[in-house]
Amino acid sequence: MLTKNEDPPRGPSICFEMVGLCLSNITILQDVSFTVKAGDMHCLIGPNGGGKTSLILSLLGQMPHTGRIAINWTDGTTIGYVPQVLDFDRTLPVTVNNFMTMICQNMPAFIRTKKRYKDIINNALRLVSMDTKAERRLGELSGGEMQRVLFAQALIPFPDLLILDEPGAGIDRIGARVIEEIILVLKKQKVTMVWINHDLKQVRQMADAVTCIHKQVLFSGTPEEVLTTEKVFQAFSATTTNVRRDSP
Amino acid sequence: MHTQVVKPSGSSREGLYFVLTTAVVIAVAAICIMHRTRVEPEKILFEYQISGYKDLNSFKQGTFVALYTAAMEIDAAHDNNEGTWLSVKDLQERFMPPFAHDRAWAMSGKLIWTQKILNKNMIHATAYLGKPSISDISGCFLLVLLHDHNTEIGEPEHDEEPFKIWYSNKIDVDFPEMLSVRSLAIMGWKEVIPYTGDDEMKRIKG
Repeated sequence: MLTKNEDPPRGPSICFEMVGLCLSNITILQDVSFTVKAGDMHCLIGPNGGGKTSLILSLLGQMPHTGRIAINWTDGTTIGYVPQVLDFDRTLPVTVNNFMTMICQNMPAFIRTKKRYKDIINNALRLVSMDTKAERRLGELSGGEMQRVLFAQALIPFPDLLILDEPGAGIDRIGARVIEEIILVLKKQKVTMVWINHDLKQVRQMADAVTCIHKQVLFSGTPEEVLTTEKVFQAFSATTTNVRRDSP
Repeated sequence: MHTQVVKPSGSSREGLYFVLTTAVVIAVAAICIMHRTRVEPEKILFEYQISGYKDLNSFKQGTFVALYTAAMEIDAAHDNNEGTWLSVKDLQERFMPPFAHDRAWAMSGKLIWTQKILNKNMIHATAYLGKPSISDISGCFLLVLLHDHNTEIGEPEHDEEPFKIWYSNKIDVDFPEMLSVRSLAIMGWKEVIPYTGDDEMKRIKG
């Protein structure tokens, strides 16, 4: 699973062309066009309610979007997805292992975990330092621990494209560092990553490209080019009517 | 390299799948219902027979059911008493409906019972005739029991029930001289055919 140490897999490039989304007569996205380069870590930033999550749901084919979203695969076609939150009944008697098993196999998890998946699951949980809590019930996990488990499931099977919807939100410092380290490993292997991230400092340090979205693309480019104080201030203080669209 | 264009999720396709699935479920259910539906097997009755379930009103049904139960008692008592038949008085003393003068008896037309015993050698027969005191509630009932003691011990004595219950709409009839099916049918009596648990099982299970 996580032993692709030979030639690093190259993730796909993604092309958003005039993507729009309208739900219940409310425009969520309008004319969104930008490109994610193959193997890049591409961060999406923008104010809350700006349509970032809707855009990646569109990328996953979960939204009735208009326009064109094209993924140009090079090798594998595996997508890993870390959702913002997992909505589930916290009283469910489902352990972390059960949850991971459900991701891997078709056979009901309560029967047993197939032998060949046991190591895979254990490795994935070890990567996020959750292997010691594999038998804990999901409802007993803290927000940060749950986020780490969600991250672990996105690594099975090894993704060529990883989509992250604020995995760092509400996570503890240790968890954030663990996730950051894994992301760096994935980056070295040139896995394409689309990452919704509010931590601009982290974006500056880690991202290859950044796009700011507030219904439309406000700006898109490398962090050095576009993350100027003026643009960031404009993006996070502006409304849609007075936003000045700017692309390098 | 190959390009995958992400298809937008559409409710139209889900709607289509939903309608198709619903149609399939309804079709399967309809086929199952059609397959399992069958014409209720009706008990074929002869001209001289009537159904104790369909052709009698509730009061007459009460008398018929009581008489059916009493007939089995009388038959068993006949076996136990070395061929003697219980008299009407015996039955009343035993509080055996419909002979006993109880509330149900009063409501069912206050049938007055008489008995005739027609034993011939080893063939023992008896009949109980009940005539109503109140004419507009019930007609006459006739219970005929027959025992053939010529059959050897251990052999089944009867192919069918050793008794028959007859009904006549007339309120005043003479005691029949002959108790054969043919003669009773000619005289206008109708044999009452019970609706048993077996009949119901056959109706349900086929």
